[in-house]
Amino acid sequence: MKHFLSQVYTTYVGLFGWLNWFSYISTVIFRPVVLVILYAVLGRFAGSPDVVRSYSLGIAAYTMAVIILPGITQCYTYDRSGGTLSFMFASPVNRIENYLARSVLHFPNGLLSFISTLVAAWIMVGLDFGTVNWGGFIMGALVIAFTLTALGEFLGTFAIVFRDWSNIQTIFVGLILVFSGVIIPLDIYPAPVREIARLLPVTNGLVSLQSTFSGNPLADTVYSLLREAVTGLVYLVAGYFAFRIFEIAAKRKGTLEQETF
Amino acid sequence: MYQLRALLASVVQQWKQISFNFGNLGFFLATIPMAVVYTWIAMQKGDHAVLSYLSVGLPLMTVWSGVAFRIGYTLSSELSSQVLQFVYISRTPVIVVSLGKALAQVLWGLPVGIVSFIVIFVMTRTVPVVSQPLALIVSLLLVIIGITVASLFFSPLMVLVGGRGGFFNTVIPFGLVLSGFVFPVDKLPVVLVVPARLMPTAWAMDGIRLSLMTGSTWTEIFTSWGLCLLTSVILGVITFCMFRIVERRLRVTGTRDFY
Repeated sequence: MKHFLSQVYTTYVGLFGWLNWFSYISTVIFRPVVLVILYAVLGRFAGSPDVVRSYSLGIAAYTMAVIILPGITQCYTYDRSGGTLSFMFASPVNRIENYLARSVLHFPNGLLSFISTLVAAWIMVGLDFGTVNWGGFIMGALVIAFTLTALGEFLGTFAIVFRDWSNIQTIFVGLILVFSGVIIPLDIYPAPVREIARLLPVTNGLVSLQSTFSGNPLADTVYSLLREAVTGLVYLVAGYFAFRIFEIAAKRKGTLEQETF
Repeated sequence: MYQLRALLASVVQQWKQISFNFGNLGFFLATIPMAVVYTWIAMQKGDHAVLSYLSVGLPLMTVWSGVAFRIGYTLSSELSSQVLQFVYISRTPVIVVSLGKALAQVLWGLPVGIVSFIVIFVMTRTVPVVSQPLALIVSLLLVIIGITVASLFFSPLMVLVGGRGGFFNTVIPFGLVLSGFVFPVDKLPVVLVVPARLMPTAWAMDGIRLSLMTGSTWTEIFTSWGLCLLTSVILGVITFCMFRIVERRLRVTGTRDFY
């Protein structure tokens, strides 16, 4: 446990590039506020001034993605580019412990962004919390944050074998924005696209989040929430296998500082 | 003349340095989903004037989002790569070199705007109806100038704030709010209209809006162009002063290779 906690701390402090007061506060707290302003004014310009109220939950879920995914991907990218990953590979440290430790402190960052967005939407567009089923709603937010964290772990491991991997999280953030239903509803897409979209984090969890926000019992959308959790577990397990396979490949080919594939 | 030659040389140097790899390409293309979502929101009411405005503004937004970040890091990258001292030794002012690099980045980013325009066209099947084509062309050029000047502003600023990672995470969305690419800045709350009016792009986008709509007068268009140029000059002077502060700090304090 001591080793695990020490890795949680060192990987976060040493490898999270936005951990200075300006970047952290502006990214976690202010960026969600700016996004709410952006969508609110766009809605007003486009003739639907109340539109941001219906998108608020989606925007809140999206802001979790924009802090968690880059945060974890940085952890792997900087570990490799800074030359410290090779020390970890040379050590007998428990790999699963190291793999899991990298994401722990990024999880609460997502929740902070989520809260910040909701507070901004409450202040700026009068998001109504009067009917929220808080238990189900909080559960939904936690599960979405977990799934995003798992996706971050999965994507991050690829930085071990590919250069220029850091931008892939930007692509995934874009996919989540367009296909997970945060703003554009899923039902406008053809059925095959909808099914692919359900493989993304947020897509299933957002259904539960929106339902419990309206005051419906969690039982109504428990299937969606379970599917979200299972999606996260699949990413987490796949990420671990990728972490191990990429270590072996990079060692065997001697390509830790280059492209392995 | 020598300055112009140096400017062109730094455009070429930066152009060669931009490699056409996944990292660079992905960075620009990643802004397109944002354009898709904004277009979808605008399509809900289907106001043709709004869609026309976004058809022009959103591609420019994707260009700005990409280049502001890259231009912002040019000076601090030179500092961390320990080549900034050579720029200071040369007689060419650093701002000329940085401007050349900024122009190269903007040129590199322009095709992304075209891709973005195609995406928006596919979604809306709408071609912007232009009332004053000549005014639109000039306004577009002014937007490009505005993007370059506004992005260059961040180059010395990044050094002055210590080259912190994540600096642009809020700056870029905030810049989008204030720059007028997505909506005319008059739609903003009053408290944000004032800083928005300091952005050259906000005035240039006014020029674009006026050239798209019927009934606008040349006086209004010329006013927006003039104010765009004026704010560009003001922002340019502030940027120049910041370059001087960076230079003084690096030379006088002897911390040339440190922040």
